[in-house]
Amino acid sequence: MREQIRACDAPPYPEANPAQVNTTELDHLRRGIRYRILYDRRALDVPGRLADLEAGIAAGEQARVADVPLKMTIVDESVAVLPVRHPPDVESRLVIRDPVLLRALSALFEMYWERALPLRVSGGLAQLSGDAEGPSADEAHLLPLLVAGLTDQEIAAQLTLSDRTVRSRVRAMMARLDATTRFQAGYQAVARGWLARDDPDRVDAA
Amino acid sequence: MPPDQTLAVLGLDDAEAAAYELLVDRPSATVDELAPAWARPEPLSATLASIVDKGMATALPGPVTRYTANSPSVALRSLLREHEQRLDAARRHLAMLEAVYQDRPAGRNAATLVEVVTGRHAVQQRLAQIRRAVRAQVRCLDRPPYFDDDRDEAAVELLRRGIAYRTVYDRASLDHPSALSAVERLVQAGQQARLLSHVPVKLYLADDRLGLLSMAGHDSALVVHPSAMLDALDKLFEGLWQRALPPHPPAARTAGRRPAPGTDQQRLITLLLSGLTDEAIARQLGVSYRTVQRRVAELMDRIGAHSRFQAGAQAALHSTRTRSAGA
Repeated sequence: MREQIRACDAPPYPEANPAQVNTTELDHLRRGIRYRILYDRRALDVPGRLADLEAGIAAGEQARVADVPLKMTIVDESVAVLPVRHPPDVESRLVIRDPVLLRALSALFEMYWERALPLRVSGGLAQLSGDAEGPSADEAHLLPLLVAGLTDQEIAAQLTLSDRTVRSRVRAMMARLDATTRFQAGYQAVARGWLARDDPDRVDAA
Repeated sequence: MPPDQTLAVLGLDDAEAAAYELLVDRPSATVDELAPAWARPEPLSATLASIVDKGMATALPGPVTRYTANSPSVALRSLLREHEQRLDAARRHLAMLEAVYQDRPAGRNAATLVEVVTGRHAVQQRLAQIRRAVRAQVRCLDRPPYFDDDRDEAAVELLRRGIAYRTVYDRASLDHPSALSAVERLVQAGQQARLLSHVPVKLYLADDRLGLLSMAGHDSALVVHPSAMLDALDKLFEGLWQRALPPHPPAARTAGRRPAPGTDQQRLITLLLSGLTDEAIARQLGVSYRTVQRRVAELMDRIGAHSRFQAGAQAALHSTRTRSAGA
């Protein structure tokens, strides 16, 4: 049974009528299939595409936007469909079932997904929100305390949170930083400029 | 006698075949003598001239030109030679087309976009072939298990040829005997290395022409030819490269306030950056677990860090400063 559809969406589109495709998606969403769609920026420029996309998001599709000129659809972990080559020839498709190739495509999707900006619908209009590559608000609170060398207990006391909450937030942040150890996380936080964001003078002065 | 169609295969047309057969019956003859027996619409004298050109007959000089047939075996040899020359030309042309065919981006036939290489020996052979054909760059996602014992030598050889070589090492790549020294040697030879906790697939990208993916069990591999799939592998490598960390902060090149981390300390930082556990670090350095803990404590003390997170951040700041100081 299908559980999740992941797709990178970029022009050009072969469908004469994209709304037809969306009908399938809306039907899937109603049946509880998860949709995560990563839109290339250029997709938003295609006439009629945005309205179509807003309908999907309103129905539960998770949408993000990045500069990813790639077309690909991954169904669960079982099959992926790509154009034969880029720029896409809309007539031909490459169907991937090999588990190793699927693992590569899946990793590629997740890599782009993490860095993309969430697209939300507010008042019926789609808008980009947040800064996907930087720390979240929670993480921005944690970071200075971690960099100062505080223990999780000390941080919990500072932020009036439970130890457990602090630990799970640190774990989530480590995953975003591609880190399996605290040492790596600290290094990555600096390397990615997460510490310089709110206080750009600090690193310059260092 | 009807012209023998079988000579057509040697490049003779019907008229030429008929003229030759006319001459074969006679010791020698002039155009006028032959004319009564010539029943074809083509002009006789032009046809005779063309079989002379082809080496099937000889024009005897005199007040009136006489024609005589060459012996069929001589005539045949001459025709065959001409035919062979045409075949050679065709063969050369085909070879040229073959080169174009080999060079084309795989397309149309989706079955040729991805091939499966089965058997350890076949995979090694294919890899050796791919290495020989590399022109400008190799990009690698590296993780064990390894099936080619000569991989380090092969990498050094490529670097010596001036090939750009970038590798992202999985944490597990540094967790087998003398792995760190091997990486250090490659970096010394010019390889650009980076570390990442987790590399999703084992990948060898040769230029932008081929990608080789090792499959589970490593007795087989997939070879991906230019296609959207190869583009995806290219993007995967570049994305992971961007996120991965250099093995260790470069040693300070200017007199700093603190002494530059020594080689031992650089190695320790490299292993910490790879995400290995303290036990695995101990194995890699050939020291005890307690020694690793003591060295990490010393390192933290030296850079004034109270936690590993802080130590990592300090190491990164140190490397940033070193880079800008060295620039």
